[in-house]
Amino acid sequence: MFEVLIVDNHPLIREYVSTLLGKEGYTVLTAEDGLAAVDILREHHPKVIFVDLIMPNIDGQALCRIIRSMPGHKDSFLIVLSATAAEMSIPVKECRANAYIAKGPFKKMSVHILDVIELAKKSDFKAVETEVRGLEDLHAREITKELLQLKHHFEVVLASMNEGILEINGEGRIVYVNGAAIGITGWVEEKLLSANFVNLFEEAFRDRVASYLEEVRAANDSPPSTGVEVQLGDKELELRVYPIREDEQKSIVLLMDITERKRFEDQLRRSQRLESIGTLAAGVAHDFNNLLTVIQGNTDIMTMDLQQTHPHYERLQEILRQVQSAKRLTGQLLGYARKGRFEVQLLDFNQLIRETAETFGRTRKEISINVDLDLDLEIFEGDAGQIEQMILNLLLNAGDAMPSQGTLDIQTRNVGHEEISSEVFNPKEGKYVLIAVHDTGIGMDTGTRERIFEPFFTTKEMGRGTGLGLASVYGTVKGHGGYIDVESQIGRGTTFRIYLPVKPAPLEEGKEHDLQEVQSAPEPKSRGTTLLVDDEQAVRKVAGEILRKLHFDVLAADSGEEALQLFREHRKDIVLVILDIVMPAMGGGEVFHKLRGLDPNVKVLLCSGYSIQGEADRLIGMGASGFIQKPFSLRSLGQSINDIVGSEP
Amino acid sequence: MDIKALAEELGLEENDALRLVQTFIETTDQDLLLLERAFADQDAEQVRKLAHHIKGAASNLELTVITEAALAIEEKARSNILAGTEPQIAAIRSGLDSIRAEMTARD
Repeated sequence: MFEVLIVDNHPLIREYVSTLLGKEGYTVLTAEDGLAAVDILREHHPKVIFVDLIMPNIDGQALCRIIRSMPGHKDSFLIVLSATAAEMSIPVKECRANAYIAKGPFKKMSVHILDVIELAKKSDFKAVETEVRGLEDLHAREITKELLQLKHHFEVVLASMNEGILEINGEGRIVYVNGAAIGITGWVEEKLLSANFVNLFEEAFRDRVASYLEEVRAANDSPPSTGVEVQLGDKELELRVYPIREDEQKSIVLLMDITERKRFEDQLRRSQRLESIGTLAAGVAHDFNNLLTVIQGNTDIMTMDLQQTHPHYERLQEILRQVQSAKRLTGQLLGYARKGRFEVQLLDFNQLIRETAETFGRTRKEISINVDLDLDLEIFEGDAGQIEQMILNLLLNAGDAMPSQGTLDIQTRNVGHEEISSEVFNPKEGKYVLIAVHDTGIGMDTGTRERIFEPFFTTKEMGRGTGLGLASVYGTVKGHGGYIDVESQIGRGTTFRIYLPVKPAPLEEGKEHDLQEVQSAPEPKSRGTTLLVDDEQAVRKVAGEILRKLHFDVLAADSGEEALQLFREHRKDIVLVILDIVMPAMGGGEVFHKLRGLDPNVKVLLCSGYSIQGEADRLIGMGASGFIQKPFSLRSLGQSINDIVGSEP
Repeated sequence: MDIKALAEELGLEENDALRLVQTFIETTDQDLLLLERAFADQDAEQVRKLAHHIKGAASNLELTVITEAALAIEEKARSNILAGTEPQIAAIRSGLDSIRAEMTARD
């Protein structure tokens, strides 16, 4: 049986060619468009196929490509019928047909059709002609030419778009795709065309896509303004569907690859979350520092009044030691929130790593440590204490992931900003040093990985971890203008990569106000009046006592307004104002400016449960005399005061 | 319309030629109805598409009057002009009616 398939959307052509060939003894199949043809070709294997070039639902050119890609039809004798051959050259290369016939009066077409079929049989279906038969009877029409150029123009526009465009028919089958749709879906055109759109997606997303299509169709004139987000392979896509007004059955689908956007949004959300936790953590640390100030102050005063042989003396010393531990915790919290002290110096990163790794290695002998350091590593600027702590925290964390044994690889090298662009977004231009710490430990799941930098998040059992180690690593990295990236797989271990800029800009630098212990006891004679401004009653009380112990007369104010009032009344006696920065209503900054308005030479020692960074730094820049961080000891306050008003001779 | 001559020219039996003309009448009639509706709606793009369709079929059968009228409509509609195409629409309608009348007469 010699089967011939005729694919043309005009019934007259189908009728005529099938009658003509039927009369010649061929079995003729007909299809009204490309889609119907694909369905027929799944069941039949015609030796000759006539394809109209311009058709709805998969045009002739695409159909030719599909036929050539179908295993059973690769060797079919393909004849293109074209109504526009006179106006525009047929895309011979794309069609890969065996022969081309221009449409025209049937009596002329019939001659060419029969000739070509004979040629097919004679050549064993292998002949290839590139000349269009029947062209000599036609005259080019300008109007058709223009239209074809317009069509070509639209095709160029569609091909240049980044968004995937698909046309689907009433049954949801794909009848047109542009280049981007092919790229986004990863399906070849031949497979995409005629496929059911919903079936492009994995089972889990099909219902969502189908109900969205349904919703759009039901909405008619007012399709939903939002699209639907789905996954296709490893891509995140947003798809929108627009019904075609002229043809109610059909719709246009817009496919947008939003993988990158989603990743960015995710990172942003995560860093906003860390940022807000940071603010919260700093607030908690601030309040704790106020409480610790009261505890430390009272304990200091009691200790002063006791002999070392007193049975409570050692207990009080223990309280002071615990206050110091608590102070370290609040310091870590402030460090996480990037509100810690920052002393910048040139650092030899390799040296810090060597030393820290050595210390760590002594405590965990069962872990083998490989250190691979770039000897040409750039010297970079940073806070030595914080960086050392950061390295130690990373190593401790890796150690905890390898409770029995394992391998720890530490690597450093120089990298340019362009090398880290793929992992972090928009790194500032310049050189970075990289420290990578890889362990062969238990690894983390995604949920854990997402939260490891949050303060107080810990996977360790109660009492073993504070949940502050990695949080402070994060704070240090951010404080140095760097980036941190973590990669982990359950059972395969974890790698932290930290990129620190060689020159952090601008440095979050603050004056170092270390709380050194004073060597000598305060003098026993009144040194003048201090105005103590703090909204916390307990802080005023204990600080007042400390000041009196330091031989100052004390005026205390619980608000900015009261402070200004007292200052006006006692200006001549006041040698120093000790001013809390964070107060309700009138804050320390405003009080400072008003005090300066009353007396430009006023000496102000700022204090806060927050660190020097930010407001305190700014006020020091504007003439404040110094800063002391809560909690402070009697001696450290004494030292700060001496620095400002001079120690008593 | 000389069906016998048409059959000879196209290498068909008379019956086949008759069926072919019948198909032409049916499809063109349908296209023309849609064209008239699109004309009433002043939908130039739709008018152009339908005129193009009618022209193709008419030229297959070398029905010159209908081919030329459809071509004229197509060209005007392409320039977004529908006014003044009424005579051509009428010409297609009358051409089609007369072919139909001939076919009916044969029955």
